[in-house]
Amino acid sequence: MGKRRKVLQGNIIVARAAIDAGCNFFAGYPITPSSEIAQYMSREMPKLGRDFIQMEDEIASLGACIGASLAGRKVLTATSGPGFSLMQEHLGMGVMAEIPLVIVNVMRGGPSTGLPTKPSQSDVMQTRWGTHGDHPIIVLTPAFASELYSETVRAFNLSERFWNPVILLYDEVLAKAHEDIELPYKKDLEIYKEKVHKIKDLDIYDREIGQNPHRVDFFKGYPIHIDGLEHDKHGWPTSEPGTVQKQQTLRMQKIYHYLDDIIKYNEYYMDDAEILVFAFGVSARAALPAVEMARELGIRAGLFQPLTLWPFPKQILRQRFSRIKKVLTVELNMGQVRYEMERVASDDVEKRALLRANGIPFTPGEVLDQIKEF
Amino acid sequence: MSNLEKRFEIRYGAVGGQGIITAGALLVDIVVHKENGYALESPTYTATVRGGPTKVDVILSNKPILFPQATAIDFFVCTYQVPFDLYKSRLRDDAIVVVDSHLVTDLGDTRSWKLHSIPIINETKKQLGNVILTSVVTLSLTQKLTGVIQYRNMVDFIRQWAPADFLELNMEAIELGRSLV
Amino acid sequence: MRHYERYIRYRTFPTPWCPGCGDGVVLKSIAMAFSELELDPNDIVVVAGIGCSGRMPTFFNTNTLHTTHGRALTFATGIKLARPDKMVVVISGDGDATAIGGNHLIHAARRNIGINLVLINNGVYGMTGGQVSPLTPQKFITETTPYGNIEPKFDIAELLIAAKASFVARETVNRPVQLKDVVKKSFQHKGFSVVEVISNCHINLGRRNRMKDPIAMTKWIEGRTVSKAQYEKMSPEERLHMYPTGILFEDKDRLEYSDLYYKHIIPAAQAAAEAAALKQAERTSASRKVKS
Repeated sequence: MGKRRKVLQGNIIVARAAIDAGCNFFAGYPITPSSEIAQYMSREMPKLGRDFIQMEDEIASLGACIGASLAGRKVLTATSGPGFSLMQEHLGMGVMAEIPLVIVNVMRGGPSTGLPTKPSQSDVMQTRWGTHGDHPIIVLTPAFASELYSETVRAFNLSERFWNPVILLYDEVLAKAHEDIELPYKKDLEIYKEKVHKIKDLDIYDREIGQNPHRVDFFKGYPIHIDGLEHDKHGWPTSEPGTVQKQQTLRMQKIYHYLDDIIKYNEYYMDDAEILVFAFGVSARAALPAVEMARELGIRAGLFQPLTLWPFPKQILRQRFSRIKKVLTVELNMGQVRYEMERVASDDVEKRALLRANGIPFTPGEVLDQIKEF
Repeated sequence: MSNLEKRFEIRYGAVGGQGIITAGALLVDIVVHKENGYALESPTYTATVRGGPTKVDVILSNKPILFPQATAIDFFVCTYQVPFDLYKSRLRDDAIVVVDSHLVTDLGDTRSWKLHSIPIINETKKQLGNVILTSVVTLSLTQKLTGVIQYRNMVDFIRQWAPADFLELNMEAIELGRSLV
Repeated sequence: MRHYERYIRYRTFPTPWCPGCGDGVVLKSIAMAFSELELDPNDIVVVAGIGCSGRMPTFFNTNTLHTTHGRALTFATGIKLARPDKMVVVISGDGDATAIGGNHLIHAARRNIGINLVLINNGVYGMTGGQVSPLTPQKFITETTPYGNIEPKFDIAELLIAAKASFVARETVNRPVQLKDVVKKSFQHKGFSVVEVISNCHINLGRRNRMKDPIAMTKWIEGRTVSKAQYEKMSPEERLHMYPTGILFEDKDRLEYSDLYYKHIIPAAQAAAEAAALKQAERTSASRKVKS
């Protein structure tokens, strides 16, 4: 038994991983089922000389995070559906100004106040398209205790590497379950560190396609301007069509050039699978035993579990669909990933979905029944 | 893990819920830290945790746990009628079922359950003077009826866990749990 | 180049403001206050929200941040807590600060976080074309009150005093020297400070209310400006349409938020961590003794 083997609540695993990853600023607002993260941070961050603040709402929380990120901090906020809806405007600001930040969204049933607090996976599209305008986004979906830890660390690394908000998306069941976890040692963690740019103040966003902006933080000797308005290579507001189109492309391509570095997934029993079960989060934890039971019955099912939900693992799925002609999407909503699957899988792939949005997670037995029927 | 061959599912049902959340947490800790097994506790956590019906699922196994909620419950302890009615649906036909004899009176179809109807709450109040100790009483009767953890490991763990001033009372709670079943 | 021009980013000119707008007066007053305090431009960040006032940071040669509508104070709060050693100035309009940002305004004041707010009150949403704001005087015609404004306005200074801001002042664009002086004093204040600047929007407010040029509007402002001492002698009815100016409230003793966090919370948490570690060590050594 390792010394680092602990029993921890899912939310606490995430909070500890954030601290281990070097998060040194947390601003948040209480909302079930994410509040334990804020509570843990309020207790632990000041012990390390780091900042915690409870703001007046979720809009303010993300605002404070962006401000602190610009002042050189590694920032985190945590919320659930209704709070995440309030954050959308500042999520857009984070994308536009290219700010590294991590948002935890613990999904509960919606819309509106919805089901406080029963699990749900209905923020799939809100995380992708919640803020207005075209924008790149990275969304990570852990399912197991060890992944809650590793994906939190990865969320910080990706946000720092790509200067973009990253969302860690999981559900109430994973948030509240107390599980045993072998915590990694901090020295074994890979933490991404951005090179410090020595640049003149006026060319922050001057770069080639596929590159990050040359960000220098505030107070580093080169007074800079950061804007939520569309801006030119200096950061000054502009609406000149050529520049605007170029900036849109630059923001997209700094991420879409590196899909191989971003997209991560687990495959179980996929080598000879005839049915691909696509499930993430708590649904993956029902789908995996279901696939195992199906195998015992001689049904060749396999599980594709995305750890990166957005950008959607389109290319790799298309490769799988060159051979596998049946896909079952399992999600705790009325059908969100399903639409993406219809776009990704060609017409010769038979597509089914197991959907439910009543606050009760699918059991392995229910998933198995669908696999058997397929 | 010595005496656990496969997935074993426990559900605790109550009103309020702090007691069973603690019982579940203790059980998970003992399995993980003393028995080298895998364990997971999955509570319903809602506004109802303050006074409403509450359940805690505890899953134990000799390998990593995949699905985090109970689907075929081996062992069920419930101290109130409302959570009993709400949360009995996923019990196995041959489940071991422990109910509070004063507070759960309408059992309905008891299938082939091994049923124990005992005055958990009353005896805890009467003998230990504090209803908070139902958590340890529940843990102890779980140990005795299921054998999923070893008695010695449970006692060792409670010794470490209990505050010094309350150690004796916790030990009495263990003995009360054993004597009730 | 005059000294205060070190703080002006001429490269981003021209400004988007209409000729005769009071915002230019505010811009220069702030730059002159920076200059008289001999601040390093790199040690300052100027943050703003949306609206005519929101464009102002672009023209300061300091660190600058143009944020979302009404939320500048939230970004500023994050910056100040992360870097308490730096000067954080927020510029906001009346719609930005008191309507969409009203909640953030009272909470920043309540926390007494060391942000220096310059709230430019021209009584209207200028950039969006002249709609009513929470500080539009009653009976005024705007694009969304075509029959006259029936809503009373906030007395923003009184509101902020009630919300526990530790420095509250008011001045007008009619008096640039006094404005510069009071802005400078607010910048020297350690907690949350606000200077409400009564300004003119002759284009989008004055024009619809028989004050279509800057002179007419500044005259209107002048007629409503009184000293604090004079104001206190007035009856409630007389006070209704008047703006007392000068420093209206100042509490130099109240501790600033990030100061409290670093001097109280962090040491308290570290002491708690040490005590817990000590207790753990005692427990371990006690159990060792039992075993031996």
